[in-house]
Formats: sequence, C-alpha cells, structure tokens
Amino acid sequence: MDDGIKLRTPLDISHDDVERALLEYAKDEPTFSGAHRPLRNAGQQAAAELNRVLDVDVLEMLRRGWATVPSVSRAIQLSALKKAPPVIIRLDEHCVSSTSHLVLGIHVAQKPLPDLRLALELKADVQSATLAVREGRIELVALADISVVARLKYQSVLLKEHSSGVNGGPRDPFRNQPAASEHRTSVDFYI
Amino acid sequence: MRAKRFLTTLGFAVFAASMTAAVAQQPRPCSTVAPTERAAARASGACRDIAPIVDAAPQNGDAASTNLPVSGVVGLTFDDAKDRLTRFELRRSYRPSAEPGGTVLEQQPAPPARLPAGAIVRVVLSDGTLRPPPKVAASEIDEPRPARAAPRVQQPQPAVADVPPVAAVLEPLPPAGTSRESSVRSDPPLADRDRLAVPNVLGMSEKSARTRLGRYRVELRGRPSSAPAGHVIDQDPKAPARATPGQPIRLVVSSGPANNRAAAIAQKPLPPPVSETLELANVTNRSFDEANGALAEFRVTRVEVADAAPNGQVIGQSPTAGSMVQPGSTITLRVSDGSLAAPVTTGANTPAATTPAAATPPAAASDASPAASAPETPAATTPDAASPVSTTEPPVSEVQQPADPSLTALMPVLGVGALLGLALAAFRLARRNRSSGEMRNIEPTINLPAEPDVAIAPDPEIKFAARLEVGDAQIEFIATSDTADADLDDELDSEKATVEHWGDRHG
Repeated sequence: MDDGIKLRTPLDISHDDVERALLEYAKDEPTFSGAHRPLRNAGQQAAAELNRVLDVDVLEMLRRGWATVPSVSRAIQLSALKKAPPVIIRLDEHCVSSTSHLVLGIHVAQKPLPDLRLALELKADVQSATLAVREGRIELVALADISVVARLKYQSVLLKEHSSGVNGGPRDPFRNQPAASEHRTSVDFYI
Repeated sequence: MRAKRFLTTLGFAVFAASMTAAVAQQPRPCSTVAPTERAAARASGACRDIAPIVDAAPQNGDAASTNLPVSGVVGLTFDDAKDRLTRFELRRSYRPSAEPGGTVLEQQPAPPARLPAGAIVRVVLSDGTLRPPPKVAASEIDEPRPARAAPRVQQPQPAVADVPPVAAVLEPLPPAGTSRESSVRSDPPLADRDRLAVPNVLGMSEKSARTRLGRYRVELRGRPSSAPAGHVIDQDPKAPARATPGQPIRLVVSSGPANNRAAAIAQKPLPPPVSETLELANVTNRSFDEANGALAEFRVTRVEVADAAPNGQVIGQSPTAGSMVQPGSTITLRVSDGSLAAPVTTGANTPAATTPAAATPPAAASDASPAASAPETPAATTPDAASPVSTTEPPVSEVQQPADPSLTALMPVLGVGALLGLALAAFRLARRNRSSGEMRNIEPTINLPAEPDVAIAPDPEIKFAARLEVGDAQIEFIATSDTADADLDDELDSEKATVEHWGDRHG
C-alpha cells in the first residue's frame, strides 16, 4: 500500500479555499483583519503549504482507527514482542472517523499572526478489511468497498468537501471462505 | 568626442554672452548713481527712476458703487453674522476656543473693507471646546474637593466666620499645576468621548436640517412663525451642545405666518439664503474616533488600508484639509489597519516612527493644515495699493528702495538659463553613466556624488508554516441482523472482528 491515496489528492486546497478561510477568520480575529489584505496575494503560497502537509496516505488515517480495535491493538502488542506468523484479522463493515487539524502559521514581516486552524474531518465507510498484524505493524491484506468523505472546515464553515472511493486495494484472499465470525471461535495467540 | 565637447562649450559660451548682454542692456536705477551725477545720468537715459507701480487708471464709478461694505461680525453668533452678511458668500471654519460655541472669532476681510456682492467672507467660529468648567460655588477654597461620586453639602461652619458658606460642590477642581484648559482637552469626561457636536440648523430648511443631523434622530414640530414655512426656527439642544448619535434633536419648523400681518411680512422679499461651506479640518494622524467627532457636520466614510501607522489612525482624508465643503458632504477617511507596522523588538520599545515603514504617510504630507491655508486677503483691501505717487525725490538715505525692476525682469531669464544649464548637465551625466565603460579609458574618472539610498518600502515578507495535528480516530462497527445476536467473546463485544492465526489456515 505504498502507492496509497494521499489526502491532498481528493482535497487539493486551492487559492480560493484559503481566501475563504482567511475571510472567515478575519471576522473572528480582530488582529488578523488588518493583515487580510496583504495576505490575499499570498493565497497561492498558503495553499501550497497546506497541500504539502496533506501529503498523507488515507490508509494511514485508517490504520489509526483500526488500531483502536481491542483485538487489533492486542495483536499489535503481541506481535511486537514475539516473532511469529502474522495474525489475520478481518473487520466487517465499519466506519472510521477522525478529526485532524490543519494549522497554518503566518508571519507577516517577521511578526507572527494568530494561527489559522482548519478542521479536517475524515470519514471512511469500509465494507470489510482484512488486516495482517506482524511485528507490531498493521498490513492491509484485503480491502473491500470503501468510500471516503473528507471535509475541510473553518469552524462551522465548510470550505471543501470531497468524497471518493478507494479502489485498487488488494482483494481479500479469504473472501470465498466462510468468515470466522460466523463460528464461535476462540482467539488464540502463540506466545 | 572632442567635437562634441567643443560644441557643448560653445553652447555655454553663447548662453553666457546672451545673458551678459541682456543684463547690460537694462538701465541701472538712478538710486545707484551718485547724487551729484544723478541729474545728468537721468537726462542722458543712463539710469532710470524707480517708482512704485500705481494703477493710475481712473476709478470706475459704477464698479466702485457695486462694492458693498463688509460689516464687522466678530463677537457675534454665527446666526447674527449670517444676517449681517447676507450679500456675501459666507465660509466658516471652527477653532477650539473658550468662547461660546458659534461665536465669530475672526473675520476676513474685516471692516472697513468693501467687496462686491457674492464675494467670499470667511469667518472663524469658536467650537466652544475650551469653555471653562462650571464655576464652583466657592472658588476661594484651596482644599481638595471631594470626589464627584460622593458630593456632599457643606454646611456653614459657625466656628469659622471668615469662610463663606458653600452651597454645594459641583465637580472637583483640576489638580494643582494643571491649567484648566489643558485638563479639559486632554482628559475629557468619559461620556463626552461618545458625544458629537450638534450642528446649528437654525434658519435652514427642513431637508437641509435633516441632512445635517443625519446622525441624530430628528423630532419635528410645527409652529406658526413669520419665518418662511419649512424653515427651522428652534432647535433643542442647540449648538454647540454635544449629543450622542441617535439621540433625539427636537426641531421646531415654521408653519408659515399665522395672521395677515405676518403674511405681509412674509411677502417681503427675503435676502438670499446664505451659501454656506465649511473649511475642512485636518484630521490626519488623529484617531478615527477623534476625527469622526471633529467632522460631526459631515458624513464620514471609513476606508481601511494597510499601513504602518497605528491601527485606527487616520492617514489621509478626501477632500483634503482646507477644502471648502458643504455640510453633510461625505468625507472619506483612510484609516490605517496597522498591518504593516514594524514588529515589536523584544526587550526594547522601538518607536514606530523609527522604522522605515512607519514613515510619514504620503497622504499626510499632502494634506495642508488649516493654519497653513490661511485665507487670502483680497487685494482690494491692501492699503499699500493705494499709496500716492511721490513727485519729489526724497533723500537717498531715507528711501526704502523697492526691488530693482531690471533685476526683477531678469529673474525669469536667469531662472530659465539656470534650468537649461541644469538640464544640459543632467543630460551629460546621464550619457556619461550610460557609456561609462568607453569613457573610462578616454577621460579621467569623475567622482560623481553618491546617490542617496532610497528607502523603498518592500512588500511585507509573508511566511507560512503549515502542520497537521492528527487527531484521534474512532471506529464504529455497523451491526447487522445476523451478527447482532452473535455470541462473541467479551473482548469482541464491541466490535465485529475475526481474529485467526495464520497457522490455523496453513498449519
């Protein structure tokens, strides 16, 4: 999954998005309102800087959500302690949501202005995912249908929204086999 | 190259020769000739007498009769001044003064000047801002007065017979060593900061009065009067009272004459309405609030611009100071937003004026102060213009020699010559700089004066640094009908995950 989908691909913050954010921010920050005009010409530069930090894999965000599942978390801990065959975990339909913040620090004439904080909401509906936990890491074995909705907000103002599906993920090799959850199975780890 | 230098030198020589000839052709004034030789020199035309220039044309009787005497209005109220100067165009400006607001302090021109009808008469009115505070009941008392919050009545002290009784203390005196005037100006009462001077609308039409009182709530009431219908005959509060914007201003408007006598009076031709304009005060470098208060009789539009001046400071105004503007006109104030102010140096308070970006705003330089734009004195009132021609030549030592007319006539020629010389020198320098590489090998190097460093205010450097603060992620499993009742382990109760070991399948 090294060639996963980056966040900046669906979002791609533009000069106009930054302009809108600055406009909204100027309403709230009196110290910022004065700098709004000279900053307007630098919107492209600010957009490029924001896109730079959005160079994050979408699946990396998903991994953070998957790691919160108790069984996955335990498998990660155990696999990190002992070299053993990977633990295969299949997650049925679930939704991973996270809220991050894009913080834009601004210096005008070496004078710092209040940070512009944008909320980045990410919501991924995953039909199913099969993970392999090995050596303390989560590897994606198979990923069924997934749709990702990314929203960029300034407070309650929606600046940008993009929804897309992630395709091309590895197919589930165990798709045709009965899921283990359909049986009462115990969870055993070789320690 | 040599030919070019020769031509240049030749040009200078021709120019200098023509200047010398022009000077030589001018007869010198007889006052510079010795008294013993003056008569002979005057007879031969070698010198010329200098006399003051007097308009010897006969006075036109008709023109003189059209000039009207200007009445003196200093000390009167503006309304009275208007009544006395109805034949002229009245322009007024305000100045802080201790006189009651609206009192004429100065007048230009002053009597006994005569002006044609419709000429401009400028008056300077007191704005009443330096009026002394209300007098206290007993000013002989030197003791500090009690605070305003706790006024109390001092009862007469029977034991001290010399101290007069004090009825009540109205307000505290200014601290010792502080003049009353400065204390009033520098520390106005908090409530007065939000108050604006109420303009005088007496005598105006209802529409004009509403325009002037645009910031206030106008309450109208009609009353029969000999004044023309629709004109304001009373106002409460009256100028120069101060009132908060939005506060009601009660106006009484004339509803016309109430009886036949008044109707007869109203039938009389009224003097033309006074064309009134105000001289715009200079409000640059003041805070917007102050400027807004100073321009109470105008509509003020605020335009924020990026500038190095402190936030809220007026850096320009349109029309410029000194312009004559009708009341109610829109004045645009350019107010700095302070965004280009230099960063504050840590540990030391760097004054903003020392930073290059905080230089004097260009608009401020162009705005002439009202004092600088003093009204011009009409030439007709200049007493020197009417001085008689002197027929007898006074002794040389006693004569105040006017400017030599020959030199006066020569000045433009000399000025043009100097400008031409400067232009030629600049042209040569420019060419020399352009081809300096070639010239360096031929001619000796000339040390040109170093060009001054021009402080060009650069665009403010803007830097961005973005970072992603990754928040916590939550996962929520979506329950389905076939799994909702699944009997899973306690650990997996909240999730729908299946965990199996690789060895289970391949072992």
